[in-house]
Amino acid sequence: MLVHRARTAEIRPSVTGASGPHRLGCHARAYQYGVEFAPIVSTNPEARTRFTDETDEDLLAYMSMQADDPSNAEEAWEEFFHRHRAYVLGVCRRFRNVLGDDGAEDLAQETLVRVYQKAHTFKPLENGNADHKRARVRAWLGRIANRICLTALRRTQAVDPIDDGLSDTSEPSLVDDDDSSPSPLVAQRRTLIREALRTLTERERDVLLASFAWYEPGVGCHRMPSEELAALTERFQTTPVNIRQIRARALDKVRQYLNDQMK
Amino acid sequence: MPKSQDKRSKPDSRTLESEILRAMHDEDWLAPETEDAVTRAEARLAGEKVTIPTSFERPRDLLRHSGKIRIIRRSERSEQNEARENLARAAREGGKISPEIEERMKADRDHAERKKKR
Repeated sequence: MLVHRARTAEIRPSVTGASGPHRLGCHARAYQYGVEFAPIVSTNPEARTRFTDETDEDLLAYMSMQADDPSNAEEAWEEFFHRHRAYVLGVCRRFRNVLGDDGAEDLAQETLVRVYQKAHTFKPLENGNADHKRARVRAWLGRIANRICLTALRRTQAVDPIDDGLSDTSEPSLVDDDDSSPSPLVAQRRTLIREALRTLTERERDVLLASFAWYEPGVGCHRMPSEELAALTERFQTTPVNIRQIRARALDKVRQYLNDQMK
Repeated sequence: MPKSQDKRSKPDSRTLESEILRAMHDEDWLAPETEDAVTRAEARLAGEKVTIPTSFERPRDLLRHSGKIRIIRRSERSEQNEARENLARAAREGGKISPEIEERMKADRDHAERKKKR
């Protein structure tokens, strides 16, 4: 069961001043990656100070040794949590349309908890500057969040993501991130598909996104099982036939847009 | 075609779906999974305020109480929004909330809570 939640503090994540850890005062501080926090109460300020100068990769290494030294591992995770919580909450808000506000908050929470459980699967960057290393860690956080979200969307009831059968979060991204220099034609097609997605209605967008919970790389989207479709119809307050129609309509719109623009 | 194939996308759809997935990432529908996408997300978040839940101030509690992801039905969300809207409208108009509006607000709230418990 999730702990009681209430909103009190607001923070503004920032990428400025990301040169390194420095103190702003006894109540406010900037972390290594320039995320600014409003005054907060820590359960163990001493522990956060002890790990302040460690890199994310070092923190993850401490976490991965949780079997040998759980106390150090938890303290390292706590530092990691404070560094990245604003960022993770920020990106998880993207899922508010399909998960709701509370669901997006739960997703951020579960993503950060999963970091502790899966720290040993993170593959650190051997070379690269601090910005690259931060981006790599956060890209890994994104993969975890997407996996948890898509798994949750597959189920009708709230799910326990700890027991969802997902294992190694170090698996490659769903998208091919090595394909950074596409041919002009491919690049144009990509741009057009992005434009086409922007033409979809909110419902088409939500149904399409939910349908990608059944996406398998190299295979495509599996047809939604009827029992899962029933859950989706309840969530979107419509009929199973309509859900499939909405999805088909969304795909047709994208195809049509592509055909029209590439003539 | 074997039955198992029936439940999969056709080849042309498969390519399009893969392209759409990439576009979803590029359009920031999903959490950033690449370094470039992270950089974009950071730049975007730099101008936004993020509300931190109180529970996030005690991370170790979260570590011990990780739980389920709540997915609220669209209808419940719209009902909650309607109740909030009624309250906001009453506040905007100032003065006292009429018994009728108060009754309606209470009914909206009760209805939403009953549905949530189900």
